Amino acid sequence: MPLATFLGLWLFKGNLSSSLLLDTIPLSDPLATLQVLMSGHWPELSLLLGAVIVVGIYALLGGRVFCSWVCPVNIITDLASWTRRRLSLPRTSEIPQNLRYYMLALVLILPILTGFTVWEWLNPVPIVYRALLFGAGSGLWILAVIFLLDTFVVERAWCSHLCPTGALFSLIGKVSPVKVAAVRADACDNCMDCFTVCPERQVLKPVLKKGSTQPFILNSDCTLCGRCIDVCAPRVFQYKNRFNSKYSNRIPLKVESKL
Amino acid sequence: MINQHRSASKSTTRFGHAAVTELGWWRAHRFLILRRLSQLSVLSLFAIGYFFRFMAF
Amino acid sequence: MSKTNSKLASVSGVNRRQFLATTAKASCVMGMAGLGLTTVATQSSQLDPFAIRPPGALAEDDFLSACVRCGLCVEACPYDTLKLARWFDGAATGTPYFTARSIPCEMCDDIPCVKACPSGSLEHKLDNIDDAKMGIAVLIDEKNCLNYRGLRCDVCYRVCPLIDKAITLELQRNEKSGHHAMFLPTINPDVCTGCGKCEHACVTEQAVIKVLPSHIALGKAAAHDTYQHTEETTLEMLNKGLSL
Repeated sequence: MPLATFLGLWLFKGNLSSSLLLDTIPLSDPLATLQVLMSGHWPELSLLLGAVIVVGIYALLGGRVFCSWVCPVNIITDLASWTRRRLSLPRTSEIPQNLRYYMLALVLILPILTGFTVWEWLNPVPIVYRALLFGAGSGLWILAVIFLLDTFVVERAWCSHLCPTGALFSLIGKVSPVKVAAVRADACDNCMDCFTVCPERQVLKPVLKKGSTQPFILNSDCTLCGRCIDVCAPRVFQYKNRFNSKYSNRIPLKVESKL
Repeated sequence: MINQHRSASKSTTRFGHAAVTELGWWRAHRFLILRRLSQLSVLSLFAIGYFFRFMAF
Repeated sequence: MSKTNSKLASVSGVNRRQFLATTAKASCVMGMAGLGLTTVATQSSQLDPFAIRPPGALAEDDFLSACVRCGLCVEACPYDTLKLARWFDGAATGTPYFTARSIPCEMCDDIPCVKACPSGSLEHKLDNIDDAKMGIAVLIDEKNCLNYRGLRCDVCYRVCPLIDKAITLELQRNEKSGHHAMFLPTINPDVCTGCGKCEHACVTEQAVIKVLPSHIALGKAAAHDTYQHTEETTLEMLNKGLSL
């Protein structure tokens, strides 16, 4: 009995750019869809619907959840970070964090100017899937480049400074309810382990500094990877729903204000 | 000797040991493992369909 | 509100230069990156003449702006004809194509590849595979074609899914022997879909009949050309007693 087919259906066709779940539900990469629209082509309903579904899912779960829980390039960049720690490499020079938003703008402007989806020629995110599923493996060298860049040139260069897909998901995630919260910030012993492991360290400072009234990591650059939860001995962090938690800064419940 | 090790606790060689001793190895690596499983299972969902297509038809 | 305004005012005075400098630097970098990306992408998107797009594909420029490189068409094809282009493969990376000489298009009646395409780079309005225009077959090497040498190969004619419509055998007197007829495979470009079954079946070491892109295989008559039916015109002139 073939594993692939469930009730005779091919489970998940296509790749990250556009796929078909159980032969009915389309799912599409929102960045690819936007590029197609920018190039002047009005696509079939399937692509648009797929993009709307994906945007909806990630708006609920947390935009950059894609980055840490689905994206295959993350495996390479995490490996690079681990290598950096193992080899005790010194801190690297910084490049502007906002560069990835400029990249996103560039990636969306180029199809308007040239008439075709230029970025998809180089985009490493679907390259892994295409290489493994379709044998188009010659693009894998770009993953080696990313690994070397991340390890030796600029720390977390790809995920935190360059990737336009991450930038787009960050924008999608601005509305998400699920966030990481420093619920026991008073228990923090300043060991700095979370800063060492976090791919977006700038999101940690506002919640950990003394006197902070905001326990939620609201910066949508946070990839919700949970490494800060993993490495923290005093268990400062937890995943929380920011709209349904006594830690949220919204209008306090009557019960709370009595306390 | 011991003091030297203590003051080097912020260095990358002792990174994460506090969490492992306090919480145990699984809780100190929970989300890392879950994330890898998630990334690999999305990939496999696509792959098993593709590689077993010959049996499906 | 006014507090933040005054804060901004004091900040912008000192940092305006920095902001402009950063913006200028970023724009330069982005400009160069954009130029580089466009150059390489444009170069590698020249479609190799032997790379044939799936049936229903839009004109190449439009195809490249619509295709999301998802591979759903490749997975839909029951004959494994299609593949996704690798880097520098003769088609834009990740886009689907096939080479007739290795695996031709089998002209499925239900056209599963077109149905699978989510973006419309394979036009959904193609409902009859016979209307597909993937390319035009051209019998390009008359010296090596066995039929042109007076033999009876006929393989390309026999495997054609639109036999006697897209390809016919035209009789011609064999001048070399003086006795026999030659059966010359003749393609009708209006009917030929470019599936490549002929190229695939051709028995010579390198196929003498090849599927070529329409812009190479076809010419175009001038708009003012009225001599479309020269046989009838000539006959008319003769009947009127006019000299030719």
